[in-house]
Amino acid sequence: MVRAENVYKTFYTTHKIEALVDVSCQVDKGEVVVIIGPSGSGKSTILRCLNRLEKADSGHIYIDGVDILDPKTNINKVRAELGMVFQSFNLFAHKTALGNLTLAQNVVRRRSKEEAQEKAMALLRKVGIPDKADSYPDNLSGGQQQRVAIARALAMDPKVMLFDEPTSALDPEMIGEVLDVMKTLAREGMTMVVVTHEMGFAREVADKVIFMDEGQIVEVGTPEHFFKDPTHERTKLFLSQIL
Amino acid sequence: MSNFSITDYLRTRGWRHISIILFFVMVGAVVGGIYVATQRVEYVWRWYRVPQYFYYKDTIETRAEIEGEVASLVAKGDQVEVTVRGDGEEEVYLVPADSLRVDEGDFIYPGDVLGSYQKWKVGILIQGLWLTMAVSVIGVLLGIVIGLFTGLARISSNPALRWSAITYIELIRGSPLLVQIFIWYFVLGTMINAMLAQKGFSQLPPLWFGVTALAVFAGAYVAEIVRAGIQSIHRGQMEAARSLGMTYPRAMRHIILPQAFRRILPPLAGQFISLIKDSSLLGIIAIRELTKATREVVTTSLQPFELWFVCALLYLVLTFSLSMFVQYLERRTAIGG
Repeated sequence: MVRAENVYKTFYTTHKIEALVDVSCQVDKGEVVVIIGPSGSGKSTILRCLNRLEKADSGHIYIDGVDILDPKTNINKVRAELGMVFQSFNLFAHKTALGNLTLAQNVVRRRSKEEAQEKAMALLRKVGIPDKADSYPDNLSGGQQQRVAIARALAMDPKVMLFDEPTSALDPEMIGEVLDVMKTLAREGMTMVVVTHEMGFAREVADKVIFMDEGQIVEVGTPEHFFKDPTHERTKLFLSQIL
Repeated sequence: MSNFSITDYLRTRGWRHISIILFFVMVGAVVGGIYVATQRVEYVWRWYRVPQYFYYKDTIETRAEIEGEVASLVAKGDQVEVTVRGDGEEEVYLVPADSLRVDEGDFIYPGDVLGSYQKWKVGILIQGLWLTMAVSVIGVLLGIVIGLFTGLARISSNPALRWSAITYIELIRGSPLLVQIFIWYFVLGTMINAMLAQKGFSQLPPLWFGVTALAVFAGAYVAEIVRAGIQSIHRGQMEAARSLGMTYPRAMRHIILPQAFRRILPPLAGQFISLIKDSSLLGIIAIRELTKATREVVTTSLQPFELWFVCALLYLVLTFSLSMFVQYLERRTAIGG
């Protein structure tokens, strides 16, 4: 479903940062892959490379068989199949919750207003806040905003959902409600790539855990393997710091 | 009550009251000072002469166009239908009965007055005010269009677009509007009109060049306002839009610009107010906007003091009502309101 091969990415800001060094990984259909690692390890960068919000310098990234680094690829078509959830929600501030869910359906999927609204309301019910349909993002709590953001991504009927630290900006009491929505999705068979610090979520839901450090994939394995018996020293060190 | 003293009063509300009184005393002193000074130079204030430049009663005379005899006078209400019959031709005129100057059988020549009526007409100041409003509105509307595209070009990743936008903005912002108006009229205007004449078209009036100069001038400032507005929108908004599969233009149109618009409304209004004031420069290329109109009235009426004050006041009415309107708009378009 998603395959990255030998991906490199370097940022040139004040100094050279090698964000990704020869990263290869694969996510199969229906799989939930959780990427963990210390900050600055490149885990958000690889996720953002998957829908080309960051363009990888070299390597190949295949989404459903399509190489998105090929200049001939229509990236907008690919992105419509990839739902993305951001750390800072990024809801459209000038639209209501309902408007956030219907806009791209109208503009990108060319759905009728009725169809888009019906879909939007169904998704708002699914994430548990149908009563907030007419609220603006500023009037929603962080947890509610993130649930709307997940619903917004789902409204496009994506094949894969990408989560970029979806709970990091939330107050502790709101993390649960967002994770519950994500767990439901995982149970329903959605293909998911999740960058997170929520080890409980990784342990409970992940099919595969990827540990990254300094732009490289250090270790890949099942949650059991990771939390009981990690191979690498760096993984052990990281887990001992975080758990 | 017994222990209320002047110091208590001063400590509580006194200073505020005294400050307010002081303000009006100062305003009065300035106005009075100006009045006294004008008395010193023996200026005679004649405010009663000012209204005629806003509205005046014009006498319109109905004149015969042919030579002949007044064949008949037929009363129609308070109008009279005058039929003039000449050498094989006949004309019918309608004049108010109380102004009728001819009798049946009179022989008249072309240009003879048959009657007259009076009509209210707008004066030169109102005409000038109207023109000022018109050139400012057209100027700012075109300026917004120019500024929107230049602003988008300014942040484009394409160097051709970006550098063109920067060049335009720097050229316009770096030179005085007065000089730009001269260039538009005396240089570009002469060139364009000469070329039009060669092709057999009619000349463009100065108004076109004046409005263009204002629009191009405003466009450069609007471009910077638009750029700042777009860049003030968090980049997560663009990323979210793009991640949903929207193209860059669609994301701009549906997500970024609607949000940026609310932020750029106040500076845009400031630009519009500036443009209204800047339009006073158009008088130098024979466009009779408010300032030029006032100058003409001053030369005929010889009442410069009243008229320049009136002129300033009219500009103030325009700019002040505009800023009130924008405040209203800002309240109305507030997100979630």
